[in-house]
Formats: sequence, C-alpha cells, structure tokens
Amino acid sequence: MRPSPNIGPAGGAPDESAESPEGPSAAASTEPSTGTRWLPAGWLAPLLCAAVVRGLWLMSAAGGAFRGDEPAYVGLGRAWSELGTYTGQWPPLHPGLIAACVSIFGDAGETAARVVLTLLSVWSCAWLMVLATRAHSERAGRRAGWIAALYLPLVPFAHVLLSEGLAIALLLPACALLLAVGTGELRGQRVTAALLAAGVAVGLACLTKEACLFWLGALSLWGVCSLGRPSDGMSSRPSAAGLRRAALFLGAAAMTIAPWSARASADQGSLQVLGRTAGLNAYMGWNRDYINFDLVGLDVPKAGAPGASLRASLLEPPADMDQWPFQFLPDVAERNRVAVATGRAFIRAHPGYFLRTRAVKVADLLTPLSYMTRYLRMPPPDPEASGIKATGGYCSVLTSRSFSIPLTIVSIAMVMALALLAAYGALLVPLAPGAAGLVAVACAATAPLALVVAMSRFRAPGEALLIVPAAAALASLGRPPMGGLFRRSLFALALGLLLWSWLLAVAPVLASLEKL
Amino acid sequence: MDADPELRQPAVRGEPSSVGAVQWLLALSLSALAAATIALGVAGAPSTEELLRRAQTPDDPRAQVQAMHALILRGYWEEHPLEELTRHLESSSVEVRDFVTRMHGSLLRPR
Repeated sequence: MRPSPNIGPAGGAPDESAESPEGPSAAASTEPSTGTRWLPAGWLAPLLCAAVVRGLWLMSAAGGAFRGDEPAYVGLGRAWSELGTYTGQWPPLHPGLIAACVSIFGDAGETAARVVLTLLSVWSCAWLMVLATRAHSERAGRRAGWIAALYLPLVPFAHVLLSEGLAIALLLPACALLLAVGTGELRGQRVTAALLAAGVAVGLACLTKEACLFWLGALSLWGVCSLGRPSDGMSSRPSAAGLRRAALFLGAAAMTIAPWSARASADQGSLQVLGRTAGLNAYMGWNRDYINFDLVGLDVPKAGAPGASLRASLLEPPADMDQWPFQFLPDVAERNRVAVATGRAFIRAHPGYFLRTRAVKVADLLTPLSYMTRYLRMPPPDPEASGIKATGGYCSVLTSRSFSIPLTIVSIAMVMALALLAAYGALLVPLAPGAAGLVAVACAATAPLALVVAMSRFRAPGEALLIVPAAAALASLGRPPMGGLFRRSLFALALGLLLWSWLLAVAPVLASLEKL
Repeated sequence: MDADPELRQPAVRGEPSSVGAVQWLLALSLSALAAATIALGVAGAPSTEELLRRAQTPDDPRAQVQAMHALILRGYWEEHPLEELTRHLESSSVEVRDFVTRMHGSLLRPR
C-alpha cells in the first residue's frame, strides 16, 4: 500500500505537533471538554451570535420583497398552498417550504418562511462547527462557529426566500455524516444509517436546487475514494468498501429524488430528473450578451480602474456576432432541448469568445461581491407598487449610507479573507482523512457553474463549506505550514487564481461602492 | 486458492462482514426502486386526451389543476385556438381558472 505523504498513521499529518503528535483527530479528543453531551464547550456563544446577527438582518428584511427570483418562489409557494398542488418547473422543496408556511400562517407566511430560513442558517452554523471539529480540532470547531456567525456575505441566504439557505442546511449535515464515516468515527450499522441519512439529505438538497446534482456526483466520487478507508487510515485510493458505501449513499439520494422525477416526467410526457432550467441558463451563459446578476443596476467602467480594460476586452464580442434568441416553444421539454442545443452550437461557432469569457466567469464566481453587497445597494421596496414591481433590497436603516458603505466594505473584505484562509487551510494545514477531499468536492461542485452563468449566489453552498478549512487555518496560526512541493504549488496556483479574479473584480467593486 | 495478499482489500475499521452485505443489498434495492419509480412515471405518462378528461374531473380541483399544468407544459393550449381554451375554462372549476389566470395569464391573450 502506498502511504499518503501528508497523512500520518492515525489519520493526521506527521508534522501535526502543536495540537497532538497523533494528528488532528487525536487532537480533538485530547482537548479538555467542559460542555454537555449535546452542546460542547464554547459552542453556545457563536450560535447565539449567529442568531442575533441573522435576527437583526431579518428585521430589516421583513415586510419587503427582494429583487430577483424571490417573487417567483413566493408565487409558486402561495399557488401551491391555495391550489393544493405544485405547478412549478423548479424543484419543489423550497416552494414547498413557503407553501407550508403560507398554509399555517396565512398572510404572514412569507415572514414565517424567513424565520424558518434564519433558524436553518443557525443550524448550518452548528454543522460547520461539527465539520471543523471532525476535520481538525475542537478549537477549529469554535473558530468555524464564529466565522459562520459573523460572515456577512452568506447572511442574505438566512432570510431572502431563495433556495440556497435550505440547500446549505441540507448539504452540510450530509457532509458531516460522510466525514464521520470516512474518518472511522462511526461503526457497524451506524455507518449504514449515516450513509442513508446523508443520501436522503443530499437528495432533498437536489429537490431544493437543481445544481446540487453536481454535489451528488462529486460526493459520490469522493465517497469511492474516502469512505472505504482501511484500518490504517492511510490509503485514499478507490476500494470495494468505498464503492459499496458510495453506492448506498447514491441509492438513498436517488430514491429521495425519484418520486418527484416520476411525477415531473408523467406531467411532461418525457423523462425529467429535476427541473428544466438548463435551457434558460444556456441562453444566458452561452450567448453573446454578458449576464451576471451580481452586477444588476451597475454601470461597470471599461477603463480607468485596474483590470477594467482587460475585463472589457475579454467580454467584447466580435462585431459580427449575433445574440441568439430564446424560442418560447409551446412544449417546455422541447424548448429546453432546443435552447441547450443552440447554446452548444454557439460554443462550437465561437470557441475563442467562449474561452475568454469563461476566464471572466471564473473571476465572477470568486468575486468579492456578494448578494449582501447587491441588496445593500438596492433601493428599499416601493410601497406604492405591488407585486414584482414592489421588489428592492433591505428596508430601514441598512440602506442608509452610514450603514451600507461600511457593511459593503466589510463584506468584500470577508470574502477575500475567507478565500485566502480556506486555500491555506485546505492545502497547508493537516486535516483529518477525507476532509481536504470535501473541500475539493465543494470546488468541483461549484466550478461547472462558471462554464454557464457565474455569480456569487451560485457559489453559496461551497462558500459555506470553505469555512471549515478557513477555521482550521485560524486554529493553526503560528505553526509552520505542512506539505511538500505539490501542495505548495497548488497553494500558489490558488493564490494566482484569486489574484486574477480580484483584478477583474476591481471595476465592478468600484461601481458597486459608487452606487451606495 | 487465496488471492494475492497485496490485492486483498484491507478490513474497514470496525465493520463486521455482514454489514457489507446489508449495504450492498440496500444500495442495489434503493437504486432499482428509484429506477423503477422513474420508469413508471415516464411509461405511465397520461395521454393528452386523458389529461383533457382529468382537467374536468368533477369534484377534484387538485386533479384538474394538475392536469391543466401538464397540458400547459406539453404546449397543448398554445397549439390550439384560444376559443378552445376559453370554452374549456368556462366549464372548469374556479381553481383551474384561478391557476391559468395567475400562473399562465399570457395564454389568455389573443394570438
């Protein structure tokens, strides 16, 4: 068997010395714990802080309606509640949550759904603490709690009625269960139960957001390599046990998705796994015009700022290039198929334009902007308007310049700090076996979106998971980095990618600040 | 003959051999069940005539709305004259009329 160069016999790294000579897992168990069985020591304060931060933003969000997909989700949920059946094309779980809240609380249903999302966001913070504890140490777990509590860029998903908050709340416990299996923390039938629960959770995440299918695929591949780790904890190669456990996880997820797929296929008259959003995304992402919803309402300068002219030249379409129109064919499946096929034909006809715009899309996915900065610069909802025209951003004091400017700057700095810490933590800090692989899963599940429509919202689940290696990095401050040339080269590559992205983001960031 | 020790899978931490068999059985059963469920959904998709009938099922507004939703997904009403849709709605329940007006108002515009 070939030992992994960076992982020691007990699952930690040979050079993990400050916490424990045996590695991060052992370090976690040797730290004194004064908490209860249900709430380890030092967890209450970050969770309370998370609740307070989200509660403050919730108060500013209640009564308003946010621009974007929120009105559509609310419309689907209300229609479901009143008509008794779901009539949307998006996966049904998030509209189902809104429908349930509307059925129980009536006119206050949207506010109730925001409160549920806020509570789920605190739940997600707790799971990040579990993950960081398993991946590194109890100290990292506490750090993860504080980062998650105070990390403003993800706070909008705790109250804006988009599907990301629910998806994160399902994906994180699934990752924690899988990591517990991968590190050998669970034994016997508990392993089977954990794999089933993780599969159901990821299946439910897919029923929340179609893009979670990428998570399902990436976690299954990770599982083949990491879930069947032998008793010495060293190999990360595929094994029969890993294949079996990954198959069980995948089977549970497939069975969770299947009833919805069957109903959607019966309605449509042809196979439909989750939703039919690929066509519209192909129209927006594989076309001449550049679309990025982080930049709604912004006039991004094409010169005068570092990277502005480079960004503009990368996005400049050839003079003879046409925007292909979206054909609203009567049959939705056919409409979707034709749009994807037209998008593919566009890529084949313009490979150079496609590649250089993807360089900007990667930068868009790593942008320091976020939905927090987007909503902070939007005007409050217009009380005179109704329906979708009433949508805007936060109400009350948050939209005043004395709050929105510092909060925007802090949000931008937080994204940059998290990215740097996460890259350092994932590559140069010893983590428990499989934990660094989970970071790779987050990247692999998020990266395909850069090939189509990239914006900060689409990275949210992966961004949440990056809090784990960032917390490990903070918990290891002052210790020499581990890893050989390969890991250091990967870290240098990650830094280069971030610098590239942030160079191209200077112009949009300046435009965003000017808009406040 | 025993397999080459190098090729044998090492034991997984704390896992009795029966657990492995249970896991394989569960994995294969769940996957087969999922595939069968989806296949039933595709194979059992109602025809357009059946959906038109269901869209006016007496005393079952949910089934009516569901059938109307399926007809719209398949593009049925856009391929037929507006008058046919109007006639259909006149003989449908309040819920179906509410659904079409609220979610697919563009279908009711002259074309």
